Amino acid sequence: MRSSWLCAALAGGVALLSLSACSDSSNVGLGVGPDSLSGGQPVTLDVEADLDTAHTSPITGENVRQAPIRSTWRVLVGVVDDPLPGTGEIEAEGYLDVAGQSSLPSEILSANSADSLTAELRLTPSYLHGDSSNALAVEVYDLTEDATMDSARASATFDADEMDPASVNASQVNPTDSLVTIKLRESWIAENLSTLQDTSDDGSAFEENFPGFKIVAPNSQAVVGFSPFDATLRLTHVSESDTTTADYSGVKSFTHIEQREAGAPPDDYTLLQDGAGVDLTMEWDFNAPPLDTLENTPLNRAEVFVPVDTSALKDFSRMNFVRPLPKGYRIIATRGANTPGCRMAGFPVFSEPNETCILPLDPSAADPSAALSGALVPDDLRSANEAFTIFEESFRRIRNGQSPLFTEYRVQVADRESIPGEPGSTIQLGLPSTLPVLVPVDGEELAPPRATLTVTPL
Amino acid sequence: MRVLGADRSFVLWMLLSAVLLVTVPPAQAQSNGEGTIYSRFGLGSLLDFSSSQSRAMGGGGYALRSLNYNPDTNPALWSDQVYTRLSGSASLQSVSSEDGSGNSGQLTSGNVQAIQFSFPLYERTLGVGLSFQPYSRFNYNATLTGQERVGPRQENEARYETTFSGSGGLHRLRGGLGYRMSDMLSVGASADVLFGIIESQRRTTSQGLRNIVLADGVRLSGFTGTLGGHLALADVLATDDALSIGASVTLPARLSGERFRTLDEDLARDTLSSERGDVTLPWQGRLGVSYQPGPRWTFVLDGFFDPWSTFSSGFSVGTGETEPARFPVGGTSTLADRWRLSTGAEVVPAGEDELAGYFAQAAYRFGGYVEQMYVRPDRQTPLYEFAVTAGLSLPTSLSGTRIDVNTIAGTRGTSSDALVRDLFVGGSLHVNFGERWFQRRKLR
Repeated sequence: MRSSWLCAALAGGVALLSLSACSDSSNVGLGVGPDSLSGGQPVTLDVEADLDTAHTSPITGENVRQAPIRSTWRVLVGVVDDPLPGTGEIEAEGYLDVAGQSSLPSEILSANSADSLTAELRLTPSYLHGDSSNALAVEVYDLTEDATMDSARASATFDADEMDPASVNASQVNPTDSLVTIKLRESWIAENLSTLQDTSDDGSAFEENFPGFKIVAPNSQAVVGFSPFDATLRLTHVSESDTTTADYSGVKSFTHIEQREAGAPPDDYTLLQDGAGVDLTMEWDFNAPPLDTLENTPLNRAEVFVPVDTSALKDFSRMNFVRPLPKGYRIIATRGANTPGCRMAGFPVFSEPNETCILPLDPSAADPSAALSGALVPDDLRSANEAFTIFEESFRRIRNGQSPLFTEYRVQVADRESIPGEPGSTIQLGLPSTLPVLVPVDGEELAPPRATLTVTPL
Repeated sequence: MRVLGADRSFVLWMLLSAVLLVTVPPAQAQSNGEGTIYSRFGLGSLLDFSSSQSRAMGGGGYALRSLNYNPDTNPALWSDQVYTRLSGSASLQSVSSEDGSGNSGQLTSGNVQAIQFSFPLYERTLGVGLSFQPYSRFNYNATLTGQERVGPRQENEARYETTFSGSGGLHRLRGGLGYRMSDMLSVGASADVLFGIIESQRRTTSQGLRNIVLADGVRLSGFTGTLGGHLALADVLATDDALSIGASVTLPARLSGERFRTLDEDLARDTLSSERGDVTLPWQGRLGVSYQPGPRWTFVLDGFFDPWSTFSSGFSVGTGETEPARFPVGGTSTLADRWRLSTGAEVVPAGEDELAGYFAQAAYRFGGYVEQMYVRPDRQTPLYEFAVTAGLSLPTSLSGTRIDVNTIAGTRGTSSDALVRDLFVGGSLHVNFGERWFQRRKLR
């Protein structure tokens, strides 16, 4: 035998060693012996949260010149008495400021009196909550001083000269129209003619002298929303031969919202209401069952879901009453003591000094046309663990005698598009609205807000 | 000491073998050894490998003296050496398991059997032996499947698979001397180091869920020793026949170590708890007889006895969910005395005729054994293992070097009483390299 055979033999031996074990799936032998092979089966359980409500006045002010630019913003006007118990009466007062012009048509610039000019506010409705069959009687007033509307909250107010309306008497707005106009008084034009004709400093002089409008509809039966940055103050000069216009575009807007006579929501529900700032708060006690029994249990999957009973909302309505469903939600989590910062934990910061984080949600869960809508903190989003991270890290901290990652979760209505496939869209601010939703807190058909954990017991 | 008489191929072989030795740990890490659910119990499946020659003759050979092999079960056999010898063995085995309900499964894997090295200090008088081989192998694989509705709206169904598997085992590093006191009597002794990690793992995998890997392990190490004797008689039943009697006793061993439970794997592995403790292994006795009526035939008859019922464990019985599972699994009451009877024969058709044809100079071996296993999972049903063995030993152009190919087929256990019956078939390849080395040629 030549030595090359030995090489072949050794190679054969190495080949034998290199064979990794292979087996077919079999349950043979699972039951052999007193300590038989068992366990390892995942189980799913719902962990209900301790629920409460809290008030946070939402941001309703916006300045198109300040980042981030929210071009789809809205300003609300009107009063709505929603038949849904607990909502009370909501009144919205809109504020609008317009930008100055660096140039104007000569006919308008040369106008010596208000006789040849007309002025109107042109507004594009984009939202309706309330009675769609009746027109709103709208009043427009001048603000008395420049208002800082940027990111102002709905509880804020700005002074207006409500003794002397700018709009003509009996201005009616039909909420279902695609464009509404509110005619301003001739006296208002006369009082403000020089300001309106001021194009100096590229219009800055106009903006310094013109603080904006307050728009109200105190005796209405609906809240109507307008796109402030599509809104214009239009001056029109009409002569025998021609008609000339100048548009002053909306640049800042704000909505003040007040709630009156809020009662109790329907049984078995908690009411969340945008505008009035009624939020849902959730807390999980890791030192109480069942979480206190799970701190050492491997976690396979976790999700947090806040259901919204869309069918129950439909039960509380009346003829010609319009109540859209919000298109999104936000969940803001408050960090526990000595926990890692939001970014370190993998979440966007909601508010400085880094005490609250905002949780990206599953955009598709908020679809108002879905059979069961709501806010869902998914198990993970694009490889970034979300609810899983929260509970996995919380269990780890509890094992070490520390507080959970987050101590409170605040759920808000956020009426803005939740773009499918873009979880980042779910952390954006909602548009001003007055929309309520019902969150079931008791009952069999719809479980209350909960964390759904899948664990594999040790 | 100058190396004499070693040709280039020998050096090449030594290097290749060294490479093989280096690759042993990773190879073992991925091997599943003997592959039986019974390896869950005790220390795992106990492996007895002495030499490729004895392996093909029923597994005993405690009295089998040979210049072509370096059997290490009986250290006295190291006394009779001419060649410096290096042996390496690898095997492939397939185990089919069946329970009383007709469910079946199969496990196939490759495995290292032994690396052995020996050389004479004084030719045919005093020899040294070293070996490294598995002592036990923890190896099983069983799978459970199921499905679980997950998610807050229970809209997703996650199919999962829970796999229970065993891996690792103890290894034995043995080194010792054999001394031939007279033409009839040889004695030997070895020091044995036992060490290794035994680990059982539960792995839950699913597409919709994160994998969970829970492992219970025991890390053990300790020392023991083996004493052996060999009696060689000639002209017993006929002229030029040879009768040998060999026996060895391995002393009880106390292994100390740590028991632990871990979660997850690789870098993310987290130790949930650990506990130190020790176990005491029983003594082991081996006795064999070999008879060579002439240069062609060799017969062996062997037996061993290990009183595993005396095995004791100092590890506590864990009850907490983070504590590792009981060791040994099921407690010491699942262990029973182990014994084996084996027999075999070898024939070399050419006998001592060096001019005979190649295949006449090959050795043909066969044998079989019956063994009462040392585990009794239900604490009452004795389990037996039956096997037949066969082998072919091919001579090479290198004097003292042979390549052996062995096979084994057998059955163990029973499918009654909620137990499992294994059918196993395996093959192994052995390279037994021998060369005169470390010896000065005498000038005449």
